[in-house]
Amino acid sequence: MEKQNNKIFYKTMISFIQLFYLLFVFITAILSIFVVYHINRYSIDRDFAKIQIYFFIGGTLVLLGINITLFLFLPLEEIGGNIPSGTFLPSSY
Amino acid sequence: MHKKKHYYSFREQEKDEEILQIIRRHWFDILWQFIPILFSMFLIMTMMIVLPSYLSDVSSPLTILFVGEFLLLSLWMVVSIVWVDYYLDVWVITDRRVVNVEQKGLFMREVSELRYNKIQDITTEVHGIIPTVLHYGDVYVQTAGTQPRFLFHNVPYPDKIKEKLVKLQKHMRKHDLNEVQKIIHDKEEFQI
Repeated sequence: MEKQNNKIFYKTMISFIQLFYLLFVFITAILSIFVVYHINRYSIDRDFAKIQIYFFIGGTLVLLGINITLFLFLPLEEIGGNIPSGTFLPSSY
Repeated sequence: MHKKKHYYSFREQEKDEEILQIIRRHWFDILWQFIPILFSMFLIMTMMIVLPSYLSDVSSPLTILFVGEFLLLSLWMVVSIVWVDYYLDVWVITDRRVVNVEQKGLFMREVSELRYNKIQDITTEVHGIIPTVLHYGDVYVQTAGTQPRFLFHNVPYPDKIKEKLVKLQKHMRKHDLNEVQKIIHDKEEFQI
């Protein structure tokens, strides 16, 4: 019973982590779009604005790409398994 | 050899309005904001390099790399927002007016203008050791309009900016358009 509860708990935790990560990627994407939009729309020097946009898009894509790859290879089950059983369960268990 | 000409323009620019100078906050102002971020990035990268070698578990180095990279990406976004705030925060001196474009983060932008005939008084303030050494400070322009004071915050060489504004105001008051035209033609000289 305790083992099964732990399993359900880990699975819920993993789903939460995935959901939060998805939210993080979404916020990063939205912020990146806003940064590019602002530089493109309000920059006084057009030439320098282009350089900034390329630099920023390049940097974000590289960092986000590596981050998503690392997340996909992340052994979430193993990390969950390292937590002593019953750590997050209510005291009644 | 011809020097490549840069075309500057801003959204609120009027027809035939000539930009004389673009002023941004002093470079030290942005460096001061970047120092803690760069230091944090350095710490995270050190952690990403050093920590995995101390861990025997196969999954842990990957987790550390992920967490480190996650933090780096977050800091990268902070750097971008700080940069946009700095880069788009400008004072534009034109042949007709001074335009203050104030970018506050990503979602707030204020644009105010000051006509030379509205200028009543210009004051400069250099406060502290670093601003004194690096020659930057504030320029306050007292106006006759509803806006009480027009502030150039942490700008390089505030005295020179004041001098130029006084010069422009003087010529504008006298309607000495020839002098203003001369200033426009001597843009290079006008640059601080």
